[in-house]
Order: sequence, then C-alpha cells, then structure tokens
Amino acid sequence: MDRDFTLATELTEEGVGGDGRVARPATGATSATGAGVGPNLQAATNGGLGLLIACLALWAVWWMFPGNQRNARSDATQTSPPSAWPAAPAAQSPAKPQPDAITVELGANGIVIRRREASAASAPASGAAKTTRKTAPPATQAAHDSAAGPASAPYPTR
Amino acid sequence: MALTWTDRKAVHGCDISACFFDPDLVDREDDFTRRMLPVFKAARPTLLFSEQDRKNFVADPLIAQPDAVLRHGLGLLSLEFKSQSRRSHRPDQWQRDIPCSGVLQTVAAAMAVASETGKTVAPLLRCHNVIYFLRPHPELVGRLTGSTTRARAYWSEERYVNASQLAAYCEPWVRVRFGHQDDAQVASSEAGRALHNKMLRR
Repeated sequence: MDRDFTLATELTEEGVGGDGRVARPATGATSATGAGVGPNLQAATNGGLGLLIACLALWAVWWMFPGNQRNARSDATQTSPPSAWPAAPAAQSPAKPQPDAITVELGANGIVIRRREASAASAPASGAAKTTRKTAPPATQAAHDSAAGPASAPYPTR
Repeated sequence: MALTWTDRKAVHGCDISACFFDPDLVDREDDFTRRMLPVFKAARPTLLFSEQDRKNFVADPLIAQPDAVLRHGLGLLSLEFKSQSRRSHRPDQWQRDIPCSGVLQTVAAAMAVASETGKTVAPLLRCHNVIYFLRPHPELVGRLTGSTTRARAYWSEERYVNASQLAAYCEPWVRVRFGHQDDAQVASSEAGRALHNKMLRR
C-alpha cells in the first residue's frame, strides 16, 4: 500500500468523520498504525529503506566500474611475493578512488553516510556480501511465506 | 444528527455499531439507500459505484471491488453485502453471528477505497437483517496493511491480492488476537470433543 488513508470513526446523517487516519505502513509491518507517532516512524523507515537500497545500487555500480583494474591488481598480487607490496607503493595509482570508502547506516534520523576509516577499508567484499544477504530474493521470501500460510498459524500469537 | 444504533460492541478487532431492521420491509424498497442503508432516516448518500460497475479500487498490492461505494458528505461509504443465505443475526447475540471474514473483507475494501480516493471512508457491512458500521482497531489495520505482500505470495497471485484473500489470510490471526468464536465454531468444537470422547471411551 503506497498511500496514507483515513477510515471513519464517526457516521452521522450529515456525513462521515473521525480520526482514523492511517499512515502508509512499512512493508511487512505488523505493529499498530493508528494515529500517533507510530505511522510517522513507519513511513520514515519505509522511505529510508528505499534510499538505502538506492545508495547500495549506486555503490554497486561504482564498485564495478574500476573493478577490472582492481582485479588485475589482485591477479598481480597473487603471482608476486607479498614482500613486494611495501617495496612498490608508488606503482599504485594515487588518484584511484577506494570503492569502500563510505559506509551507509540506517540511523534514527534517517540514512547516515560516513567515510570509512582507513583501517576498516581492507574488507570491502565482506561488507557488500552482508548487505546483499539482508535483502532476500523475492522468490525465496514467497516460498517461505507459502509454506507458512494461514492454516498453519503464520503469526506469533500475542 | 446522530444515527440510531441498536447495539455497539468490540468484535473481531473492530468497534462495531449494529442497526437491526425488518428485512421483509426493507428489502422491498426500490430506493437503493433505503434498501441497503436502512440506518439512514433522512440522509440519502449518492451511489457512485455498485457491483455492476466492476470498479476496482487499488492500494497496491491490495485490490478491492466493494458491493457499493457512496458519497456521504465529504467522505465515502464502502459497503459490503453478505446475505448468508438470508440468515438473520440475533439482536442479543449478533457478535456470535457476524462473520469474521466478512468483517475483515469490509475493512480491507474500505482501506483500498480510502487509499485510492484520498477521502475518509466508513466501512459498512450489510447482512440480512442488520447493518454494521466498523471501526477497526489500529492493530488490525496494521496487520491488514502489513500482510498484503505475504498474502499475495500465499495465494500465488502475481500482481494483486484481493480483499477477500487478504481477509482469509489474516482471519486466523484475528481470531487468536481478538479471541472470539462464532456459534458454528463453538458447536463444531463441542461436537468434535463429544465424538472424540465417545470413540476413545474404555
């Protein structure tokens, strides 16, 4: 559901009314969404997730673009002795951007994008993999949900 | 002017007002509002769509086709009609007669209408001898809105899940969360228990 909506809590001869406004909920949300703070938080979370996915997509494109050069460098590393690294630091392009130089965090106030610390920039692949795994493929989710249908009480009780 | 309701109780996750009437008199009315919305004494809401119009209301991925949508003041009425084979509800025990699936379908359809039109919508459920005005608990609305994607997957629908499917998907949760059994369930449970004891006697 992609829009806020309002259900009536009052009905008279003159018309409908009331405060049953319901904000657009986050997908899969199960908590109450009546008037109050909850709907706003859910809407913000929903929008934040969309922004997070967009940022990750841009990051992935950026990661792939210089990937050939990076892979070539990795290949060279495998054929060379490890001791060659400190001996030839100038061989690396000084202007080459580090694709993992930023981190994206979902904070209470929205998306927080930070430049990553130099010491933490050595394991980009693992970070990307974790992020990718968080977004389960739709087919997998559907299969999971199909297995847990209403007849088998798909929800926690209380 | 306030409407005259016969009773008001919390059932199936909704705060429900009920207005009973004589179906033999009301069903003979030619006017749509008098026939389908007998709770109104003076007002005549304007019929915008009825079932024959096949008007779909979409709140992606939820889709609904209410039996009627009427304009009433600045808002709308979303009406579902469940005749239940012309079975009358008991004025003193209507909370045992009102169908849970019908309640949820009515609320889900009203949600779709409200989402698409942007207007305040009153969910109304018309049964054989009674009309109900439903005020859903926020937790129920949250459950319905949050279950659309999973319900669509459960029913193997590619694009939309309709209000009836969403209601069926959420009904077990509603029965557990808001705990209420109608007469058919109680009778079935008691009969089953009696048969079980009889067959396993020693």
